[in-house]
Amino acid sequence: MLLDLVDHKESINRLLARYGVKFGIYKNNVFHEQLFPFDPIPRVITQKEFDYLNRGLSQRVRALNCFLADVYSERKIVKDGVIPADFIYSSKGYLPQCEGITPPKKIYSHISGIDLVQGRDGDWYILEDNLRIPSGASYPMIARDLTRQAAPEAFTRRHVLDNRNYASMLRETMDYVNTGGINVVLTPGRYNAAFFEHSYLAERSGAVLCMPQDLAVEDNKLYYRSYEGKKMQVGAVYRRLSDEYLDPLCFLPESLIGVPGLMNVYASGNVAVINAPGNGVADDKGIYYFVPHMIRYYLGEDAILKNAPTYLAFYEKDRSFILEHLNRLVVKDVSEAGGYGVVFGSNLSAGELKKLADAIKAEPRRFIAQEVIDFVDLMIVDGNEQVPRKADLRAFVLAGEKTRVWPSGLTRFSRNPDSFVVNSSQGGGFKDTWVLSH
Amino acid sequence: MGIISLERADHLYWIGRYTERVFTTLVTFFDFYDQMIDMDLNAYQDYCKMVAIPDIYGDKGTFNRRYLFDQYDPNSVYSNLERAYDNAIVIRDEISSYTLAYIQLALDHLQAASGSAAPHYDLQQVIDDLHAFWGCVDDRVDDEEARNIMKCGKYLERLDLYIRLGYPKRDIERGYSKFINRLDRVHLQYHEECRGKLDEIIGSGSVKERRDEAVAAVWNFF
Amino acid sequence: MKVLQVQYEMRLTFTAPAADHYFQFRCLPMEDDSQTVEKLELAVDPACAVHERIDGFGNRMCYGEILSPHDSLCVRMGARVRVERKPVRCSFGKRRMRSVSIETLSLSIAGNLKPESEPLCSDTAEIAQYPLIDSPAGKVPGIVYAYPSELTRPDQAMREWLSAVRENYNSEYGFPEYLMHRLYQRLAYVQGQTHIGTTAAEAFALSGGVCQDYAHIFAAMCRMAGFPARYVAGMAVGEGATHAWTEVWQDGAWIAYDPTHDCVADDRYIKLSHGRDFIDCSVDRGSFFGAGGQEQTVYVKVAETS
Repeated sequence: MLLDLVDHKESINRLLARYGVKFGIYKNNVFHEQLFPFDPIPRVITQKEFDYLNRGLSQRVRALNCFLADVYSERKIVKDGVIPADFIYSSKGYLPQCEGITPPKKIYSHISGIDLVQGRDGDWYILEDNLRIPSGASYPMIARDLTRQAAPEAFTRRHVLDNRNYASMLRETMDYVNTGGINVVLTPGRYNAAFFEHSYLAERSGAVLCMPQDLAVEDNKLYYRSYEGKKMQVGAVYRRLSDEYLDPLCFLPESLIGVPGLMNVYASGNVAVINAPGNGVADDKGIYYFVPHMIRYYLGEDAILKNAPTYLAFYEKDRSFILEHLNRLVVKDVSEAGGYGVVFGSNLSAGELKKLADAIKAEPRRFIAQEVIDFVDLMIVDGNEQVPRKADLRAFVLAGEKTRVWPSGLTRFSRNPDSFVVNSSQGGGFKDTWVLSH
Repeated sequence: MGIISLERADHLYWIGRYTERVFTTLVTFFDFYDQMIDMDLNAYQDYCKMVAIPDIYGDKGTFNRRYLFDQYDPNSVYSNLERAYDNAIVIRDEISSYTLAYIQLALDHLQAASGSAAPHYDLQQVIDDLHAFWGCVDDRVDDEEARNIMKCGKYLERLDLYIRLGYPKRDIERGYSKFINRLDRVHLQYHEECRGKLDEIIGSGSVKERRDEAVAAVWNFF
Repeated sequence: MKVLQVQYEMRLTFTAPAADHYFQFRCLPMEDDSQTVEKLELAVDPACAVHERIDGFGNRMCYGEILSPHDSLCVRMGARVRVERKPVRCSFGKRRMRSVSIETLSLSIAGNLKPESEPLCSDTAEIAQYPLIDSPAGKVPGIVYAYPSELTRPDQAMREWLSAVRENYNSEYGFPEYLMHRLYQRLAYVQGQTHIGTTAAEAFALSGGVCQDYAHIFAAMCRMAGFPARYVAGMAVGEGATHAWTEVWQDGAWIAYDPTHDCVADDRYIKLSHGRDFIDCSVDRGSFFGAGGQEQTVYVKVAETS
């Protein structure tokens, strides 16, 4: 099965190069663009399995949206003792500047990237939630388009759901919260790791790609300014700029990028910002532990999808468990992102284990520990043979009138056979994700 | 969508300029290359003078290699094409991925031709890519104003090179009229006195005699 | 109870014209349980539309923009405020404030300002609903002011100093009060050695600074000692610049301390805003394009009316 695609690896990668499917990285402070290595063998998900994931992921994102609305208003979940105040206020992602702001249609996380893995037992486990500016949807989207060009026969009998509808899903998501005016994709610029994605999603969704200097606030509204002095009101900003750079009047005053006054317009309900500023409080690695509790608290349901078994060093009982089993757990520093700050106890020497234990004892709030999940390998093409690699799945959940999961996703695999880290900034590649229509 | 930001207008204009610079220099370069095969080994020195770039090359072999392919030489064809790419990629949504791909292909083909024993032959592919690029611009860039701004850049660059490289009067006249034709359809601000000067010099057929004045008027146009 | 007449004037002068100028002010007296604003005037010159909203901390914030080139920006606020803070027992003598002569500035009057959003509910009642967290001071509400912030993150030297103070603590005063007193002896009021971005730890290492630094260090110490504390920007009776002090959550209420003067802030203090630290309370913040430099002057006068 799928062997017909293997032969097309080279032609598909050539097409990807033609369309500049790249991501940027900084090496020694110099910006480089690299092609994102593509493996032609897709991850295949049956319709039945996708239905299950769809229910589980939508449920999770609905609860996370409830949580964000609650955190920035009444904080009932804290008052009711479900989540300790510590996990809100000492999270870097909590932005008190966003207190009391109600985003259009009360949606905070419009585009969520949820990372999962499938264990050898067949069960799916959530690894982490990305509710700020998750990237990656553009890659399987364009890869599908190009694979269909290079290997049309592979699709004739397989009944794969088309994933190129991401652009229209994105557009509907923007339109739904748009307060009147055009949609824009706000990029920090050409030298951003995900610039390809910014420009491609703008092109496909019909939004205008813009840099901060193209936008200006006037009389509590946001405008796109033309070169000959005209202006057009902006109703939704899909921003790919992180919170702290969004508005120098509200966040980092020394930031040279950003749109001064944007937060005032947003707070006044005169523009939608996608995703809402302040979402970092909900995708914090510490808050992750509480997501199943949130689902019960806000929705009155049991979580459909499981978290990886997680221990919070914050709780004394968990802490002693972690310290006792440090050599078999994976420890994550909640203040780091992008695959950094993740340590496998089994890889550490006795001295390193001791150091880690001391760090956990000194700052328990900073660490979570998880059981290492033995997740399934996927095959990739390596020269003339196929070899197994660890792979995860980033599913994209879009919240508009309804919350739904894009029938595809970004499957990332690790570069090295013994690595569990699949982050693209650490040298892995990607696969398309096929959802079958039956 | 009919509204172009200052930043975007700038990128559109410079895509026009850089793609045309690559295109016309390649075409002209072939003439000089042809001379250098067996007639005038140092013809490249005149070339550098004409286009006002420093002669850092020393001999024709180095010139052929570095002027075409050296990514660290800011005046090389490669560097200019990279700048075209830098301006194009930030307005992918305006020009379409399909159009942008031809600049990517031109870059890839230029890189592939480096070290070739027969650059004239191999670089034809780059010229083909640029022709395809401009064909795509006409077909795929929906916004007329955006197209016209690109062409303002393209034709001003062409005019500049034609004047510097001593192209015949008729070519210059035609280049200038193409430029003016686009200029009057956009809202770019320019210096009226430069336009007046070019009208006068080109109109009176005295570009050869007043070359420096004409070059300055182009330089200061926007 | 006192009725205070307040004037605030901020003038920004540019050496070359500025354009696309966005400004944001937190210079209006706060309306809360202890302050009632009886009259308020605000004028911005060059004239422009001024919007108002309540920020994430519950402060009144005015903002707007001047897009065309201009040489200066001037903001004037005048108000009459009735202040009635709950009397607080304070064990040591209130320091004398500098006395001032009353002289009224002529103010150009803008239209009546009205916030475009409602302030958050009265925060004492709101805070009472929070679950209590364990702190060195016992059980205190888990609110944002219980945690360190960018400018108030303590360092080792502060931690050590605090534990020494704790050891010597006798129960004559409440701990925050005692702490303030000790801090007042430890720090010296020195202008020019700190700036608006100086952290509590940096100022503590320098053993002093201005009111902002006192308020930061005191807030940081209180939080470390288990008392939620917030930074307050405001003005006190007198003439000169804005002032800063600290409110500490104690026995179910916010108590205002002025660590710079080693006293409790009484009815001669007018509060403009509160937050985790100076950054949240910046009285004025702006962004503009311009080729030249800028010079800022601030004039504040608060006088008691009879």
